[in-house]
Amino acid sequence: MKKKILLIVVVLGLAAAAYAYYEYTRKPATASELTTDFTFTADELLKEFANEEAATKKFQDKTIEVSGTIDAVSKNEKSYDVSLLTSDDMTLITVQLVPEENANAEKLKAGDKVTLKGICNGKLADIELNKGAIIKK
Amino acid sequence: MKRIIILSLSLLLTGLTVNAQTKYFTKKGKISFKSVKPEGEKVEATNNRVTSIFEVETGKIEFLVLISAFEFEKALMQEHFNENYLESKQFPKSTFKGTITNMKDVDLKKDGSYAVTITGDFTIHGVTKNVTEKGTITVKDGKISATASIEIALADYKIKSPKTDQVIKTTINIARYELKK
Repeated sequence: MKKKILLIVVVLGLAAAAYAYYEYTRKPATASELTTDFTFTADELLKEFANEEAATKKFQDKTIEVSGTIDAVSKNEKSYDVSLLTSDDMTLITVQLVPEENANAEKLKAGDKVTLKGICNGKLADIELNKGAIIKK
Repeated sequence: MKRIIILSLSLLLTGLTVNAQTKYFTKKGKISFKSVKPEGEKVEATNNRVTSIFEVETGKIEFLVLISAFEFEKALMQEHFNENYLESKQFPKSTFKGTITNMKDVDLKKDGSYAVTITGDFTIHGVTKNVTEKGTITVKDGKISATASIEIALADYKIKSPKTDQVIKTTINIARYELKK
């Protein structure tokens, strides 16, 4: 009986340690690992941000798929930023892709129609998404 | 008819004076910070989407950053940073709006490294404070970049921390300001 209890304690202890280790070393999720919460065209997403405060509350940390025409692809420190055109010249939709997408991002160019997926951070000059992936081009 | 011409001419002139300010901007600035937790663990994060606008004639300069766009190595740290410390749902942005006070010492037409003093309002976690910091503007082959290293005392901005006197070393790096057309 004592042995059984000891065994249970040891197993529980190991499980807790494994869970703690998993939690501690867990990497931030990227968009491709997450299910899509919202799907928009670039212009639809722009319209959602007409009320910036409400939109930030609604979309921050949410995974969004957004489709549109590329304005520019530019290199960041380790990965690429892809900006989509909207009806407002001053506010683009910019998705920071993950470095794993670098080879695919290099093939993209202005004018291409794409669908991107990213985690929404909110709006500065542009509406910003990060940890992004290319879904369709 | 004459009146219309004069009107449109004066409108044109107003348009021109508005455009006379030379503005530089970027959406690709970088801010990173590093701190050491009391238990000795290193906390580091980077944000590569800093927007900055800088007006040559007046020395006005702005930095804007989205808190939730800071990227950490570990998910737990990123979650704690957003949920417990910076409360990014409630306070999504951090901004600095100020002026370079010694713009007269900076010659953007001449290559060189210029020490600048910047003073203005820094807002983070919903708290705004007037701060004065030192930075460097560098001109090389006509390209303008800027850097600054600042220290943020968490208690000043009501950011709770296990260590009450926690100061975070933060580095701002604008690799390239583009001329705003």
